[in-house]
Amino acid sequence: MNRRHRGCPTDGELRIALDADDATASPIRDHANQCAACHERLTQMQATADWSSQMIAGLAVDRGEPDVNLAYNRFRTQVAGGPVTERAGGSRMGQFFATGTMRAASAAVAVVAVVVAITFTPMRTVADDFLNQFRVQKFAAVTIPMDTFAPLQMLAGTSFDDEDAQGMMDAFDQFGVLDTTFEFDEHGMPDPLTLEDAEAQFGDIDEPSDLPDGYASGPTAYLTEAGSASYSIETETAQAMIDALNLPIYSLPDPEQYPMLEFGADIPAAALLEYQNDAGERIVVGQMASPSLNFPDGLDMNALREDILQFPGLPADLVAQLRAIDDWESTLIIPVPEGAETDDISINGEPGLLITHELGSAILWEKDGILFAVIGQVSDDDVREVADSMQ
Amino acid sequence: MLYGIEVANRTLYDDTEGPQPSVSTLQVQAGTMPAMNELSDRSLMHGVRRGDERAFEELFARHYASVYGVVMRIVASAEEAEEVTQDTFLKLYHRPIADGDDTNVRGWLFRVATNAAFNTVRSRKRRSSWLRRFAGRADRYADDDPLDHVARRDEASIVREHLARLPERQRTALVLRASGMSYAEVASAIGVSASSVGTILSRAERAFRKSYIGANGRDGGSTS
Repeated sequence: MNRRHRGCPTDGELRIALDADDATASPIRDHANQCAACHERLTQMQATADWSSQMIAGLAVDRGEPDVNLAYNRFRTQVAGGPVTERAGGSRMGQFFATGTMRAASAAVAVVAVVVAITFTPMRTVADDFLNQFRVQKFAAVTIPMDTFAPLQMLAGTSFDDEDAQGMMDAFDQFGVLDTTFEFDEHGMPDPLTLEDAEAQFGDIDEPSDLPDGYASGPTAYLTEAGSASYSIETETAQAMIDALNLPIYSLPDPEQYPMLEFGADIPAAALLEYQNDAGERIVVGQMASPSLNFPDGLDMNALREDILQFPGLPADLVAQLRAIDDWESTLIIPVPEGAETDDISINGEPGLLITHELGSAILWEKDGILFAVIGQVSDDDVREVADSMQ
Repeated sequence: MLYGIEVANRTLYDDTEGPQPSVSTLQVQAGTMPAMNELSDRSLMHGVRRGDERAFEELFARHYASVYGVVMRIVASAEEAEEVTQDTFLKLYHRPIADGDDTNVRGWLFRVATNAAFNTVRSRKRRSSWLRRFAGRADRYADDDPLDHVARRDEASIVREHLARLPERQRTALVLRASGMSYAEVASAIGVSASSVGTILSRAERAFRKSYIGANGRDGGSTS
């Protein structure tokens, strides 16, 4: 598009002139007839507008008018039904992953959750049945090369970005049913509370007695709701997906014996205390009872894990790290990006995990069935000082 | 007369605190309750905020078909068009537009619906892309001539995907204008002044064509 000169009409004015009637457009057209540059601009703009119009006109689909009465009856049925159980992703999960700033982080977390939690996380075999359940008692860091995002992208052989993560979730949505008590609203954040109000709802909340210099002692509190979620898929459908994707997984149960696979998670309420300094930097202290993950009856998680560890292309060091975890029943695997350093530490006698990165530091530990986390844009010494002061 | 009805119903659906007279009470008192289809969208929106199901039903009847038509053009699937349109009205039902923001209910409906429709198109593309890549078929495509690959795909789908890549305002303006809306209606739907619509349309058309040609190496033709 040619540049316009001082006194010439703007692109917007030219574009309006293309659509306007003669009387309105005539001053612009008159100008264009005398100005070679604007004449050229108008000609190009007309060509582009015609092209665009033709392309969009080609999208018209003649299926007749919708039956509005029928549509309204369907609408009323939806309003009256208000089902909690929905096909996943297109609805609540879709909303969750579509929410602004949550999306990028959530996509990565989703991949980790699906791959790590469902396949690598430990389970507890109770008696001789197949009840698979997992509760967190300690943590193990596993360095995952984020630029290759194993193991999914190893299979694809290409980069795995945010859109791919969303695509993966969309693909899962086609085949299973999500049943959840969680309500994912547009904002994704609970309301801020005073510490007193939060304790009135949550019960006692442990506070740090020491904070780095400059951090105000009065925190803003947030409570997340407790809830549960399950994802059900027909075994036969899951096997068909695996076959279609040519995945080397052979451990699904016999569909006739176990027609459904149901993965469940019970997530207790969590309390978050946010401390801030004058520069706007934050330290967040979180605490919650351990979530529990329930795996499908009939699904041999050990065999499934072994299948996945055999995936071609998985980095040997990642496989080695996963195999080195001996207590699969209660160890939560924390995937950390390359470039972050991790260290096994002790917080008031309890084993914990320190993660340091150029963006900040975090400590995770478990005490008496409660999981604690301290995360902040501070040094590892500072975050450790905060954790040590929580007795 | 129309002004009188508007005033009456602004009062009827006033959002101020305190007990509000019901429609039937006023109707009886006045003896001249206007029909729902005589009310403006904004008056109906006041009613929706008050929980008046008939007001919502009138908005639904008034706009469903045109919203559906635009969505259908974007998604090209009757099932998905109905789902997107129904979801749009569900949003309006559960979270009515706030007083003061409701001067253009029709524009709100079109904006929400077109965004959801383009999200559906993008989601569809992501899903097929991910499955293809996950299944290892990406390598096979990598060996192909890209133009041949494009030619195998449905032309209209390609056009929709390129539209979906445009910034929200641009793609909404393009589709609504192509659906026959006036500059004023488009302006209202995307929240700009009517004088800005020309600028947005010219940028949108340029970006749309550049994106299409950049990816396909040609100017395209009929998409039907």
